[in-house]
Amino acid sequence: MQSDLLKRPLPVIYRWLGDKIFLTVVVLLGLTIIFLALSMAWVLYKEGSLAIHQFGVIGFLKGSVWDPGVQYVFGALPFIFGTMVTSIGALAIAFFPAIAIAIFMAEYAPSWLSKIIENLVHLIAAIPSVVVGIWGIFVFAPWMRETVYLPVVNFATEHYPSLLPVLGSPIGYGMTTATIILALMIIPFTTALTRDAIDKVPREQREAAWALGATRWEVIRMAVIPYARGGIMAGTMLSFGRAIGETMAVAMLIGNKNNFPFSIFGPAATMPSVIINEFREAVGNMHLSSLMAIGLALFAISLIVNLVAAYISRKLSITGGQAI
Amino acid sequence: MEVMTKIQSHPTKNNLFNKVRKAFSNENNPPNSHGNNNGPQKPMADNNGPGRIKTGMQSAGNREKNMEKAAKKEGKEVRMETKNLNIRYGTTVAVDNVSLPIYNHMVTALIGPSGCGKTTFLRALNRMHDLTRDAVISGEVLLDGKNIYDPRVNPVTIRRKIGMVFQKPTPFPTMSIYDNVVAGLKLVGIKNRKLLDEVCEKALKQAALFEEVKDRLKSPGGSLSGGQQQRLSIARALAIEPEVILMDEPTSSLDPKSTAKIEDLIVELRKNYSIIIVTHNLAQATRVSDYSIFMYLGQLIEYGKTHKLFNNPKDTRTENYISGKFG
Repeated sequence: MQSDLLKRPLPVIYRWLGDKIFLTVVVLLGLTIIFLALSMAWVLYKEGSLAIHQFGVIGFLKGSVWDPGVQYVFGALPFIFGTMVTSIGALAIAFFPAIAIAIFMAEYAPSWLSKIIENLVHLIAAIPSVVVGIWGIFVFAPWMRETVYLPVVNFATEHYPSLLPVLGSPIGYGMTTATIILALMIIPFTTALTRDAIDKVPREQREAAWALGATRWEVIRMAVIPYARGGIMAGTMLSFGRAIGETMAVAMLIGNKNNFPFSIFGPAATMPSVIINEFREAVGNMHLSSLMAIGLALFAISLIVNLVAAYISRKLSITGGQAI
Repeated sequence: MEVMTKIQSHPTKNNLFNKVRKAFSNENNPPNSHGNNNGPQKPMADNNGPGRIKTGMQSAGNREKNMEKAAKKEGKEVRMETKNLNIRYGTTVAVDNVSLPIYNHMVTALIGPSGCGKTTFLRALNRMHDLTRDAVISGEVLLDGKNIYDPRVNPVTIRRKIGMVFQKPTPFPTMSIYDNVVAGLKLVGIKNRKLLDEVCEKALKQAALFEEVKDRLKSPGGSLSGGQQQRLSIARALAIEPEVILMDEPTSSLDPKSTAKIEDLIVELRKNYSIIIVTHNLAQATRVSDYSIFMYLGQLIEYGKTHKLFNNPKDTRTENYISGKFG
């Protein structure tokens, strides 16, 4: 039957045309995405060029004063610093719990429990960040202020008054609150990506460790984590990328203070938070251009983080080791 | 099927069987007189040093001599025993009421068509089924008379006594060759560098791999060829000095040359270990094994001396299988 079908002559023009149309569509769509990314970068650069020319690339990135009111001077350093500190802090807080949840899900939990946890993790990841933000404003930040910040600041006032400027004002909306909320928000991503990496570890690897008389934890340490490390690191970097770009919840909780230096508990700002807070009020060309330049810097940092993630995952992932 | 026809058309087939038969000629006891521990104990413990073990390929004559030697001192000590072993996955019965002895210092081959429960049976022998959540096991597996499924027994210690080599080579890809071999020792907390070096060398020599890798023990285990990786997996299993080694089609993913090396190795290792090997390759079973178990649809059909089972099968199903009528 098949041979009959094959024997039937197919119009050459039809086959030729179908191929061409498909090729054209695929190539066009593929190019669109590259074009979009490049044009976005170009627009950010063009709009931000006023500020970049005024202060210079290095000068803008290193400038620690952001004053749209009086001096009309714009430097991105406070926001770059705020972004990095909150993101790295969030990553540090989120990393081990996320790995632990992933290992528990993949290795220890019975499958029904594992499924429940997995769904919960996805659910948490799906909460809109503005909802997380409003929960932070009305529940989490006041709670942190009462239970952590105020006692710590009171203690410091009595015993180490010199620490007070470092700690900052304990209003509840500041860098620490934003960092913790950010950590809560990236835990689901790190967990999901780590779990994927752990799931990819071949069964044979685990069994090889079992057969050597390894205990459960030893199997994880000996066979699972080394094999999955590429995926785990790449997943962590991707979560880091998300933390850098996270806007709404951070803007709602970080207190939004543009003056450098920031304190531990006190208000601060990040690159996304300053953009979302000031773009409506930015009437001056230089102010708007500076915000665009911050957008460009954010774009570049996110791009670098993603490239590093891809590099790490390629460098550390196990390929060919099992090939015969 | 294909394998079978090859064997049958092989000109030296009869020759091979004759050799095997010759090797066993001074042994008349029927194989299923298990539990008979009164016979002469295996005179094995004398020269157990690593120097005794030759590396590299052995000639066929050498192999024959080994078999003959081993057959002579055959004490037929029962090392492991299964009693009414049943294994099922959900409602599917994979192993159906299998009771058999495994003899010490013998190579026992498990043969049978795909899906007959060979691998399931093998994995029950060192409690690897503990890891699959849906396997249900009943019956007993005895190692030196003690039930390994006793709730008081720690499966980890069982797996240390009963090593396993898998179908695919499984070196840990992030570890060096050296670390792969001593991985099992490091687990039990041995840190003495000198001891580890010694064990590593001994295990690699036993696995006939030392000469090929001695200059690059620090390079990753994944950098070896498939056959070398499988021998590395064997060395890793040997390093913790198990009593029994289970092999699940250890050569099915290897080329003929590596297969020959591993077969030589198995014959060599039987001096110090009891080996149970699952194989699809019937010629391999005749080459390496002393006893053969034929399983079909989860049941033990026939168990006996390899040459007897292959030359005078008692059951028609065995006969049909080894003559290639199904498989």
